[in-house]
Amino acid sequence: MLENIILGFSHSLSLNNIFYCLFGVTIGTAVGVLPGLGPVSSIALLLPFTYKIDVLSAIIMLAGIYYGVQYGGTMTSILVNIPGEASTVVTCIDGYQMALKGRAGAALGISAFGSFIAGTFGIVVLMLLAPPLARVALMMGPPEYTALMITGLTLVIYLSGKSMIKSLMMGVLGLILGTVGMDPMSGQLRFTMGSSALMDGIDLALVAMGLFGLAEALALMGGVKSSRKMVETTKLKDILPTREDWKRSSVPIGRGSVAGFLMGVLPGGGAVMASFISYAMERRFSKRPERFGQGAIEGVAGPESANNAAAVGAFVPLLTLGIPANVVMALLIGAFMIHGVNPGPLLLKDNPGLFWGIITSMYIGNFLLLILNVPLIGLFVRILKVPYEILGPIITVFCFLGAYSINNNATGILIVIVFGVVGYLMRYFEYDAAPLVLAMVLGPLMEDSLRQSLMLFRGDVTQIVHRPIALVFLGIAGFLLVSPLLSRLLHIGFSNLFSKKDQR
Amino acid sequence: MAKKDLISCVFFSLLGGFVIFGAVKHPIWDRYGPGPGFFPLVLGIVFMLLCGIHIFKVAAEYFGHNRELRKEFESAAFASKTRLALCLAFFFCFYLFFESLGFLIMVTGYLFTTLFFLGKRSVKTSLAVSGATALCIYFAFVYALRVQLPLGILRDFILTYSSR
Repeated sequence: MLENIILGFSHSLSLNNIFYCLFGVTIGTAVGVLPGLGPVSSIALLLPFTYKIDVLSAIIMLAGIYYGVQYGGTMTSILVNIPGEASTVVTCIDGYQMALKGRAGAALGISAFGSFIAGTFGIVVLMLLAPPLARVALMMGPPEYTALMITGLTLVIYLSGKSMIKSLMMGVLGLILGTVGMDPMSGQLRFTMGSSALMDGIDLALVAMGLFGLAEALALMGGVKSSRKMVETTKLKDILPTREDWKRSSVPIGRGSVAGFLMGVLPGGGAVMASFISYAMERRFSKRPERFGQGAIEGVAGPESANNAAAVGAFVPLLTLGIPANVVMALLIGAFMIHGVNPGPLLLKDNPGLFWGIITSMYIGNFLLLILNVPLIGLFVRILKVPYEILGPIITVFCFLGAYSINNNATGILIVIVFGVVGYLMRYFEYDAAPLVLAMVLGPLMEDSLRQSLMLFRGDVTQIVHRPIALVFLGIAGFLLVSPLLSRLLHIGFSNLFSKKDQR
Repeated sequence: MAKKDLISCVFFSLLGGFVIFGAVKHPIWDRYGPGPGFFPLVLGIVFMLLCGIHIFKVAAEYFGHNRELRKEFESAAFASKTRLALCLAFFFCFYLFFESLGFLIMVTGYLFTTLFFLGKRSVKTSLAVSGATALCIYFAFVYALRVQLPLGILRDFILTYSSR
């Protein structure tokens, strides 16, 4: 283990990689501060630029953006009650109340330190867990992979939106979009409509930029959202939490770290779910739950630790199984593939320097974030003063430039515009874009493994369930799909039972 | 039934039909196993089934016990149609003229028009913000990130200037 860590640091501590790490966490923090702009759109915007740099630097930079966003989103949640990120929505509840009571510094401080502790905890567990998981993954064949993909996609659908049927529809739509282009087995062109630009399929970065970045800008410029937001800055004295704050926050940080990491590992879990679960847990375990919502520091420390631990945990399935736990990880797979590297069980064997370099760079990233965040909190808040009328058009320019630079062709801009409109309409019709993007990544992998399995079993699809690992995965997926129906039936059953008792 | 659910489901059903139509053009199954049309065909069928279930679900909720659903769904805010149309017009202009006019002119022009017409900023502010942003992005992309951007009609001028 020690040898691996040394190998990792020998790669990640190069000046070049430290620069990209710093660049990533700075951009991530800035993006996290901006309401609406998330890690998906910023990673999607920067993805084309990683063509020019080596794979380790590219992943270090993009990973830095991801966990930087978790830090940055906290600031706006606490200071102005505007969540910069979905995962920091829950921080608004008690963080903003603390700010109103003049304790913004303590709230920001505990979230920064809690995030650092949780992030570091996540990295240590990742180091211990990744190699054995990679060995297990090597034992899996096409049927197991098919089942795993189905489970992963089902989990994302289960946890993502309000309506499971709508999320399912988006998941299937994503799989359909993944079939556009040349069929890898027969070489036949599917759904290209004669366009040579679609022969290699629809680029994931273009879809993500359109659905998230441009759709957000369209909403800002089109006037769905309030065009002006009042931004008040809070005095940031006393950044360091007191001894009493630490005493009250230490257990929530520990609990948030463990729960967050576990949620991050699960496909579809992610930082948003982790922060909500942690908040619910703290409230349940608290001796004085009535303080929650009134400025309880535990309500900030727990969720903030959880979302950062989840950000690190999401790397486990990516690095060991080659499966994205969320949309950001799906984009990171894209970055790996741009450089001809396949993340998955063979990554540790074939590219140990890259594998351990990525993991050790997270220590550096977390440390840089702490240095960046504590003294520069006031500066980042000033970005909020940029009005949406100015911010919106600038976001679109970045989207268009990113799209153009993928193939040095304006067709990319057209695709982004089309998906921007689709993303905007999806918001209006209340469809979640996350399952679509994730399914688009999983689609080609799922099709390959399904077709290989069917060839292996001479077309008998039932043979897949005869494999124990595949059966377990499919069982989980099946349970998740029917669980909303089951819970509704149980609810109806119980309410009928109680109403009959009352009548008696 | 909520209007927008019906619209989206009809559109998605048509899309599902299009996918099935496209899939059957390819071999579905050959002697080696599933062909290139197999996976899209399955997906198209599943997609149409899901659309049907969704329509059924919303209809059951509406006709069953919750007729207030219509109001709730249809009260969702939609952007100003004029602003939205203007935005889309600006986007398509950007796509059409980006390569021919070049980065600097197109980005400055695009930012100026959006800031002036949609952001309702003064001519001076719009011009200053758009010009400065275009130049900053240009230098960051071309010199720091080494990304080639189209020079358009300013090609000769920029090449002469940069060679000096």
